[in-house]
Amino acid sequence: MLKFKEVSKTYKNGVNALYNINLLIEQGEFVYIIGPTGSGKSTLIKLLDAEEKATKGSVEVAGVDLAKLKPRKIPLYRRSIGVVFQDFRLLEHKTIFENVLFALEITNTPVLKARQRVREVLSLVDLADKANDFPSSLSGGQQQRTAIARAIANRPKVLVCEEPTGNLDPAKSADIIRLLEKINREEGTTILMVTHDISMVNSFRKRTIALQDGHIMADLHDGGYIE
Amino acid sequence: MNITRHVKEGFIGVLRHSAMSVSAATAVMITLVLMSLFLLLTLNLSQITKNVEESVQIHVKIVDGTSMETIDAMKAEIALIPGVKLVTFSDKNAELDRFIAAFGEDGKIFEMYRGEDNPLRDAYLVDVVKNAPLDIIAAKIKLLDAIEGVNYGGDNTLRLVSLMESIQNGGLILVSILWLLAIFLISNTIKITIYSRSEEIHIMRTLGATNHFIRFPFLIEGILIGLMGSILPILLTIFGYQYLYNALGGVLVSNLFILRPIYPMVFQVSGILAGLAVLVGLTGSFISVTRHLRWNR
Repeated sequence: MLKFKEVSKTYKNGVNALYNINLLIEQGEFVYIIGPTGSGKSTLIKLLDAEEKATKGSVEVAGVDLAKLKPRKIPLYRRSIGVVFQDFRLLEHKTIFENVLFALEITNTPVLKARQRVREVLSLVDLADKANDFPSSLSGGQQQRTAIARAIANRPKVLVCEEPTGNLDPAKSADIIRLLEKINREEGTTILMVTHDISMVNSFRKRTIALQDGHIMADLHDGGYIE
Repeated sequence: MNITRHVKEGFIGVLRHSAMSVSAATAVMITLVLMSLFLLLTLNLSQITKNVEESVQIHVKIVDGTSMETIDAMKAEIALIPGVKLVTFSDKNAELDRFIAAFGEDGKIFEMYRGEDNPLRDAYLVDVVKNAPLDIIAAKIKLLDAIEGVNYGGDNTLRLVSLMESIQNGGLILVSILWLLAIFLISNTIKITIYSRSEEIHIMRTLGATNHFIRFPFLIEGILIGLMGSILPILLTIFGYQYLYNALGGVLVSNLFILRPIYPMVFQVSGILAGLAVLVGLTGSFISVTRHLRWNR
């Protein structure tokens, strides 16, 4: 489903971010990727997002070999995965409804169907009553839930979350994890969550992959705290 | 592709970024006002120059008592001189008509000279082609038999024509500079507007929107901003020129300088302004959006 094969990434400025990463994640899994700053977590996301290209090795997501992906095809690929960021990345001048709708507009979903799906995912993330508000009037947790709603609107096979709880307090963070669990369960979406929120990793135990200095230090199928 | 969606997005974009839209439209407005002024000025100058050039005529007086055959023969000879466009014969009577007409209402008193007492001479009215050497043509005509005098207004006419031409050329240069300035100013403003939204563009890309999908609403916004900026200049052109024309009585200083009629010129100028506004808005936003849409992977 999600396959890293001997992946290395060296940036143009000579910085080595990832060394010989081998990783296999099956459809429907919920996986944490943890590690300190500079461990290569962000690079991993950039590779998955097709923002960067692996220097060596191959990255395969839902059957697409990202090394061979032409720039022209990147938008198409990105629609098949959902990405959630720490800073939410909502369109400030669009309402919550329009933000989610945008994801469906770019996939050419028929208008009525798209609007119905927006209502569906907004009630899934419990924001139906905020549909006509602008992001700036929402709390951080609500904004992140909007971002999640937008990311799953197109029913992606994979949902990549980059520090989704990084800007939230513990209670809100737990809400977000529970929401992701619900999506993982109800929509069968593979979830890859990059985080350094160790308390979350410990409270909601999942397969946990620990990165350090560009290497995989541990891959714990039962999850838990990593020293 | 859903054009209605993109057009709607364009309108919403202008409305939701109202401060930016207004500032960009203001830049468009200022340049278009200047543009309108210079367009009106050059159009009128070219009209005036044309009038002056067309009114340049060599007046050739024929010795009294010259036979009709000689008159016809000389007419043919003058027509052969290089630079001569048209030779018209005007007899004493017609000359008196012209003389009286030149004095307007007061000219009536010269009616007493009509008939045998007419002191005027038969004459040729010689029209020349543009930029023809009036002095040389006049000298050649003078060499013919039975010519009493040749008058072309002298050096003053020549100087006026050349002055008009240089003013017009100067205006043309100014307008070209202004066009460049306008395109620079406006595309710069739009660049800033779009730059402030590079974050938005980046997010759209992250979500998998194609370049085309992102660009289209921005192009609509560019057009709308351009059009918004052209409203005031167009109104100013139509009503301002109308006011000026009526206040001046349709002429500048003297009857030699006749201004261009209000219609259809103001509409033509307005059309140019609107077209320019759309074009600049479109290219400005195209260039600036495209700048944010490069793949650097």
